[in-house]
Amino acid sequence: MKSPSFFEIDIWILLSTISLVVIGILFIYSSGITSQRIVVSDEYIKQIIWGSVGLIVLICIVFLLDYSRLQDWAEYIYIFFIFLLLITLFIGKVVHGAKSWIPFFVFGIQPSEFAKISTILLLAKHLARNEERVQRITEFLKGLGIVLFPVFLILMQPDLGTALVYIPIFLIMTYVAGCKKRHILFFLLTGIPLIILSVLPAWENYMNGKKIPFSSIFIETDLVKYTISALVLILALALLGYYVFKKKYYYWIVYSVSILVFSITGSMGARFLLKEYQIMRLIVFLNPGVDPRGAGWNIIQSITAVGSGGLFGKGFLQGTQSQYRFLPQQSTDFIFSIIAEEWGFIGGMLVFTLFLIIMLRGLAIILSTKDPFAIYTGAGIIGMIFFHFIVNIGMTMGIMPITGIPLFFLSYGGSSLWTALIGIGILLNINMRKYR
Amino acid sequence: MREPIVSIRFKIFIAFTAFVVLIIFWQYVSLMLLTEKKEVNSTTMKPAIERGPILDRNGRVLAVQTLLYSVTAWVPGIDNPRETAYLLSDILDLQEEKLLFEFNTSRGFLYVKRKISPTESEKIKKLKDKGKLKGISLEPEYGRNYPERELASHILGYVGTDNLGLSGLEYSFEEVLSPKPVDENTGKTFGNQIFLTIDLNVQYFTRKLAEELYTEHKADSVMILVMQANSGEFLSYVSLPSFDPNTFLKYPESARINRPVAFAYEPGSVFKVFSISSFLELGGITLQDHFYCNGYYEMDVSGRETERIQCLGIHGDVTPQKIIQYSCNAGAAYASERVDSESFYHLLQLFGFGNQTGLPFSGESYGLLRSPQQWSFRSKPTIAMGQEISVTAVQVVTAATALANEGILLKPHIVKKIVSSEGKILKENVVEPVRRVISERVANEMLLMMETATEPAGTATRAAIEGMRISAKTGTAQMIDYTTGKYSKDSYIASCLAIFPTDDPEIIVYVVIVNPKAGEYFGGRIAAPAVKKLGEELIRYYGIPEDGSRVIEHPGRISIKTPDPITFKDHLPDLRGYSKRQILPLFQNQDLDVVIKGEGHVVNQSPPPGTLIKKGMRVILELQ
Repeated sequence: MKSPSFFEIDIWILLSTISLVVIGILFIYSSGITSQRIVVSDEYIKQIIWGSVGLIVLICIVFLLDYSRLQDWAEYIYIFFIFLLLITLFIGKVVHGAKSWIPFFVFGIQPSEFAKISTILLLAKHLARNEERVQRITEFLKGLGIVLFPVFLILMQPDLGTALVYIPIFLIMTYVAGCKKRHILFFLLTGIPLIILSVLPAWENYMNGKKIPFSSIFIETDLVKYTISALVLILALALLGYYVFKKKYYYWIVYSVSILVFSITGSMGARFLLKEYQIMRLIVFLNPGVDPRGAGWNIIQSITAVGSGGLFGKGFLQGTQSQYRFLPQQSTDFIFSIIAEEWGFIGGMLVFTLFLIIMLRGLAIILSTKDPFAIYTGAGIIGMIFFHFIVNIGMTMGIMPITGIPLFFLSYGGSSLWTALIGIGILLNINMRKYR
Repeated sequence: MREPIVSIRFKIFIAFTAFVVLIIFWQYVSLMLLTEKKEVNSTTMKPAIERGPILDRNGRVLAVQTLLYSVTAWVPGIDNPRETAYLLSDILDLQEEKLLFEFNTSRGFLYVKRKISPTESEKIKKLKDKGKLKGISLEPEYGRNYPERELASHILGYVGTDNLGLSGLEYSFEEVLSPKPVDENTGKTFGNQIFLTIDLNVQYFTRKLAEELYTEHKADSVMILVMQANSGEFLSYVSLPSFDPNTFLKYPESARINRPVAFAYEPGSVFKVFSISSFLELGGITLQDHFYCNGYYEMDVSGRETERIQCLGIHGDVTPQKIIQYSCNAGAAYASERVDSESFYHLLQLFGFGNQTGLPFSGESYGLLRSPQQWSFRSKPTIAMGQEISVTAVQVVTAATALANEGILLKPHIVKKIVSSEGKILKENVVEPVRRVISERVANEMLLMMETATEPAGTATRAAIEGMRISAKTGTAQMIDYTTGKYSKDSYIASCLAIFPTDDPEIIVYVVIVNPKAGEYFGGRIAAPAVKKLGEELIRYYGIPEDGSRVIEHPGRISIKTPDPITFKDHLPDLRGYSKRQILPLFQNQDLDVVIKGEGHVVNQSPPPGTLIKKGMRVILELQ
């Protein structure tokens, strides 16, 4: 097989990616400088190094690798990163309350970022290989297992935001692969009440100040026992009914009751596993005023920054929220707030457009490909970038909870930047080899 | 490949994606273009709180809020720098070129002038109303003013630039003076007012006297405390060197120390009133006991050489009364042999030594009273003379309330009451008897013995006031030289404690002169005359008649308040402060499962008071 020429590359995606990385470096510089023009952080230099090396890695992936090799190696890559996630739990460095870093020379690497790619690859391989049987629940569950393994390890760190990214990736990939809608829906319907029930006690405390009627039967350990046993009883009866009478409505009773059982037990586990501040973040998302100086500070400051930008912004290096360092984590989670404050609506639109180009071109690549592994991998990568984009941008504007998910390409941090660039590399690779 | 499924799914997928993007995009547009531009600084501004004033017991102002405006500029917002600079320089008396230069060179936010006069701010407001001075704003800045300057500085403390209490009552009562706003939207919150027990007039002449002592004797520091004997309220509280809270930064740390609570020292012979009281109370000695002083105290310790402690003179045959009158060290040491260390230690603890008095000041010292296990064979007689123990001035005055109130110790107060901005009394400190330390008989006997010290032969004779029965005891303690760790040869602490009138005490005075360097250093020579001087002024000011019939109103007898017996029906009572014995009735209630941890008095209870009692409820009580 001859190596493809440079001109077969999707130049739109490549240019957008490079533009985003450059914009990122500019605003990481802006975030590290105070109103007195004093540079207080050398993060931008590190980002320049990571960005340039990352782009070389991207080019290497495009030209030196055939993505079908990735299909062959998917298991090994997956196992390698699972292994890294495992040792992170033991030798990891604690940053922002989570043990998610492995010290590596002078840098630290964050395996939970790279593991997204490895998980996408293995899940794509699984779905592609079992193309004819994806409608079966067993294949669906196997796929779920592939995803939940790293999710569980990341939750142990504990890093809720990063773990959550795996869920939409899974949903999008199984959806595209043609898994049964009711399986996907079941998963989705279990997740939503699970989250609601997890934060309900804190919600009652901080928001209402009073109890919601009957809430205690889902929350208090003493009562939940009875609730669950009652539900399990109904479940058993409905199952019995289904096998004896073969009536469809028994199936749906089982379907809905088991959603309840899973979400209630899951929420008990989640409350046990999650840290107080993580639950607090979900609460302040719903009402930042609950704790304006603590957990709500981020949202309020970020909305203020975005809102003060106006049409053209205050000018590069002129933002007050960032230069006075009101914004926490301004080079990582809240980089978009600085862009919006300093370059205004126009600057934000530029970022929007660049992401949109990557997304649309990415979709076009998938649609023109015939290889199922390539389609699912591409869908996973696009889904991952899209989800990061939506949640991060939404977070800076106060319509998504603060989860600490970085904005790909722009946010400071080598691991997330490389993950994004590797993803783009794979996407471009697929594009060039789609007509084989 | 199932083409149709995939394409339908793709359509749904894209529709959903587009929908989410649209929501985000709409929020983006509305946030950036449709909402009115907010002033960025407004979110970081604190709501205005008017910090409550601090007043003396008669309502005279000691600390008060001030409000002045500062002129700030948001440079990108200035549309016409030339005109703005011209107008501002005119009003604020600034250089126009300099201002223009600032506007042209700096970016973002800057202060044009801080804390301008009301006339100036009025002019700027008018111009702003006319639509001029864009980008310039007036920001209210609250300050604090202490009109009496150094007079009560250690009590008041001071506030920092953000009007946050940093020391003294300003610090301890931060939440009271400057409460958290209930509603951030209403804007202004008024803090509560604090009334002190201090009488500014008394504080004034006390301070005058302290200043005289400070300069005349070239002392390191001087402390004078005056307390109303039957209420535990400080009438004056002076410590020198002091500072002006308005400009506290100009003063060294040593001037800002609140010595009466923070400085612990060996009290010297003044302490004999507490040790001899203890021996009498414990029954170790009686008034008729005789001890023989031949110039030193000699102790036989088995297996050791005889241990000698020097006395200041050869007092011959002494009774407890003579020990106090002549301040006989040897007598006090011999008397200490009659009691065991444990009981002596316990009684000193009852007097409050080795513990904080609970005045609302931060950094109060516990003093140093070691437990008997750490005592050497010399400790008991030495402590009896007022050495090997360190105390704070407020501890001494507080302990003296037990002598003045027939054996019952009172809690000292410096805050009389807390009044809300509407004038509602939120808290009023009343007489708080803490515990009985010694019997009425011993307390009165001690006052009489102290009275003999002011007779011509006594050490405190210079404290005697004509026509007034006064009980006093002086002390001269060698200071510890921290460089050598031994007693210094030339640094002393001279002090005098006085209670008067003897037959019905109303006032406690305690004068401490630390390291006088002008020659004289005996408590009897320099502290006692100060007590006399101060006493005379107090007698005049309060009109205390010689015969002792009272003018100051005070509640007659003081009795120790025992908590009411526990009564409860459906709600859990507040059990804190009850002793283990007193909570016995709880166990009779069949509904409750009472768990007790520790010994002593209840300090913590779970569930909290007021909880509805349920059958089988578990109540956990922590005792200390």
